[in-house]
Amino acid sequence: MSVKNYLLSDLSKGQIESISTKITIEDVNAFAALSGDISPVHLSDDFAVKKALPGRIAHGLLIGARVSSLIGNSLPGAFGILQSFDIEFRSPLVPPQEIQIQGEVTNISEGTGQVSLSIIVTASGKLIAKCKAKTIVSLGTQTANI
Amino acid sequence: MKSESKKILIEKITPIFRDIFDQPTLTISEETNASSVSGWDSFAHINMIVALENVFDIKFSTRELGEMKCVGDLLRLLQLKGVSG
Repeated sequence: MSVKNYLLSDLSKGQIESISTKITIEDVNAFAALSGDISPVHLSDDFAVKKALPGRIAHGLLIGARVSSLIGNSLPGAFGILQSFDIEFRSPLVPPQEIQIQGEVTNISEGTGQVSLSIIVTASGKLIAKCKAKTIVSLGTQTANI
Repeated sequence: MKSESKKILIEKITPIFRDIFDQPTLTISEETNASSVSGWDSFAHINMIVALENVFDIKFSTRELGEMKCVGDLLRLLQLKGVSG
């Protein structure tokens, strides 16, 4: 996996980057251990079904963590710092499932370097989450050293 | 800039400052600067500038922002960009 190196001058309003990634049952188990969120809704199919869900569901912030990979690796990539992040979940995600994450530049403040992003997460065409993020992107001409 | 225009501009930007710095009773003057407002750090500064850009439909350059040291400087910049008081 490569990391993009967009500087502020490389970005434009409407610019889009997308990634696809799979969320597996093993990912959910690992995220439960990492986060400490061991709710049975994430770890037990039986429990989830009794709650009228199709099966155990992925943690919302695991999905958010994958959105972080879009921001950190692709839009804007290495020269961006995440400043704020809002996420709204629209549908539960039952692993294993492939998700598509698409980010679009919605505003650029050239003076401050702040770049706003609108991001959607879908699985098989179904909307899973909508996000808004603000990043600070380097103005300068540094070259990547990674 | 006439004092009445400054007063009106301050009234226009005060709600933005109150929202960004999460201080509902914050009052500002020409002398107000980053050291006189709790929470005016680099991220809050960026949020404030972008909020001003969006509200007044203007853009600041890096050079302009570098020269801005207090609210008085901001008021002068806003006026130069056609934001009327």
